[in-house]
Amino acid sequence: MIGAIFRGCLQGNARATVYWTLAISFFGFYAVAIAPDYEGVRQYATLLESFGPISTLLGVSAEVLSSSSGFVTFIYLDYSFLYYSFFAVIAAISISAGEEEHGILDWQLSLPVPRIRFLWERTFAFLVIFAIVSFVSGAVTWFSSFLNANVSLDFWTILSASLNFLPTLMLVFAVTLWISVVVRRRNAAIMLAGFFVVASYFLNGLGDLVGGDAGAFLRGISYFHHYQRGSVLIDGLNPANMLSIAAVAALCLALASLAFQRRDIGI
Amino acid sequence: MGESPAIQTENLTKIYAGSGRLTHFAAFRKIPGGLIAPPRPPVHALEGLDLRVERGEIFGFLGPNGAGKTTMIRLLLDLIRPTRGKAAVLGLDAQRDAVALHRRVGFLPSELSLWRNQRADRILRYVASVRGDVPTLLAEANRLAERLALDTTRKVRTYSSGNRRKLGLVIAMMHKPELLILDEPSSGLDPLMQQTFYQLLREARAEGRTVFLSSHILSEVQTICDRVGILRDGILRAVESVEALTHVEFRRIRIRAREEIPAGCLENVAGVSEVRLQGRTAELQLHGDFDPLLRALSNFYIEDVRQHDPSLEEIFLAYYGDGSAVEQ
Ligand SMILES: Nc1ncnc2c1ncn2[C@@H]1O[C@H](COP(=O)(O)OP(=O)(O)OP(=O)(O)O)[C@@H](O)[C@H]1O
Ligand SMILES: [Mg+2]
Repeated sequence: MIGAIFRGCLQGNARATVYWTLAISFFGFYAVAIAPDYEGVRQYATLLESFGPISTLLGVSAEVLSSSSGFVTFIYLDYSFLYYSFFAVIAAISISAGEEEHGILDWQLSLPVPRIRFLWERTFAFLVIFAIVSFVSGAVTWFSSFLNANVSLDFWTILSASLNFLPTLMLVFAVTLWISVVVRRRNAAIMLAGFFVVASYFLNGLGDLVGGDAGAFLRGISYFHHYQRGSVLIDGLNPANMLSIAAVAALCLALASLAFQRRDIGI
Repeated sequence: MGESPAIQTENLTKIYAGSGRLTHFAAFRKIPGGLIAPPRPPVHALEGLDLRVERGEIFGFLGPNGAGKTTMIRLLLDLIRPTRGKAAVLGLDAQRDAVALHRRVGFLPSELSLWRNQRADRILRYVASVRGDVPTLLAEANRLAERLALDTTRKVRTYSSGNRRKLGLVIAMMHKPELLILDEPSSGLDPLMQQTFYQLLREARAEGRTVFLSSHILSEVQTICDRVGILRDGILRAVESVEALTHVEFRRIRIRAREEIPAGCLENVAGVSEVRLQGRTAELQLHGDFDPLLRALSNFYIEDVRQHDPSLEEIFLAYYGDGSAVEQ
């Protein structure tokens, strides 16, 4: 029955969804409510910037940090996104290499479901889970902005920031899925996908640091750059950008499906 | 379609690729710490298997560890793809029509793993919803669980391995499949549950359904199967009806006397063959009744007589005389 695997995946990950919502919400709450003194933050950032490279590497600049929305950008959308990426990695591994290594795929794939639909229904389930986590965390961030008179967050801005999460998360998810379908081993897949995330994170910072054409190239190969952290708070959503990220994600999913369809199941 | 056999394979062959493509390069072999394992040669797990299983029979697939039983079953279910040859199940191509086939087949893997943190009834509901008609399927699942004395309100994590197996059986049987494919189904079940399980299989057969099970326990196969296929080293050595096999049944006997048993005294005794004398002990094969042997030994003081059931190999050796069927 169409949708059964989708629902099963949602139910099976209900608890994880709650935990991750709490974790991501915490970043928003922390950013808005716990660190309110922007003058102090600016001084700290200026101090950091006097070291030059390190501050650039982390993407910190006094200018970004000294406005309330810039601060929220930095803490919530940037830091939480790194954590969020790992959620996408864990999710993709759990439904492919993880289950294969545990032998669960054996009986699941003996059910009357084409392998590709099996993969896609679960991918769609995680899209929904990511959306839930994003919107709830965004709402928590928005609500917590009332606790702090120094912070003014527009609801639509935070909503679009939550939306902006999704294509890039699906990209990380799809890349991880592809990796884990190809390498099969759970630990190897975690290692490679984790490397993909962390390397992207640092390449982006490194690109800022190097500057020029080389820098643009380094940033260009990092998905963090294309995620456009923060600019969504200033300029709003960029649908063309989101669509192209989603298209790359779809391509990775297609590659994963193809590899999964062809190969032997089991170790 | 009703006339097509339950399972038919043609030259079915599976060769698992060896490992160590990297190790073809000498440079990689020098990496210390066993980081790159030495190459493994390809494994010929199944070689040119031609098998036909009729509808409505219980077919036992018998073979020692590593014979290729699981490989065969995974090929039938399209979990792995054959290197050569093809398999048709219920008249459908195992690979091309896999989804249609899975609707009509129930499968119990040899090492069943389930989501450990899920309750059993949740898993059953999930399987039912994937298969379709939820109320009917769940009703049958509950009926089966009751017969197998399985409490489905507990989490899989809290189950003993036998209970996990029972849950696997319920999953495999809840949609009343036309063909049941069971990989070592009764391992881990206590004798009482084994009887219930055998009963379930017989009922399935009575309804005209087919059972294909793998095992390495001869007695189990003898109890429930109609026919047996013997697999060793990936090659199907023989296919026989269980009746024919039990017909040649014999025993292996070991006798210890107080004094030396002279050579020749056990020759020409009815039913005795393959005599091996070693001082005071004699080992032999006995077909049929004990009486001729006991009479032949009546002049000796017998300290001990031991009998053990012949191994499958021995039965087949006997059945095929010189063993040509067994030794390729
Ligand atoms: N994925 C694999 N890669 C390489 N070799 C494999 C793989 N799976 C099985 N083999 C090998 O194929 C042969 C047949 O294995 P198979 O699991 O089919 O045996 P089996 O008859 O089911 O044995 P058992 O009674 O122990 O379950 C064995 O030599 C095994 O080592
Ligand atoms: Mg096996």
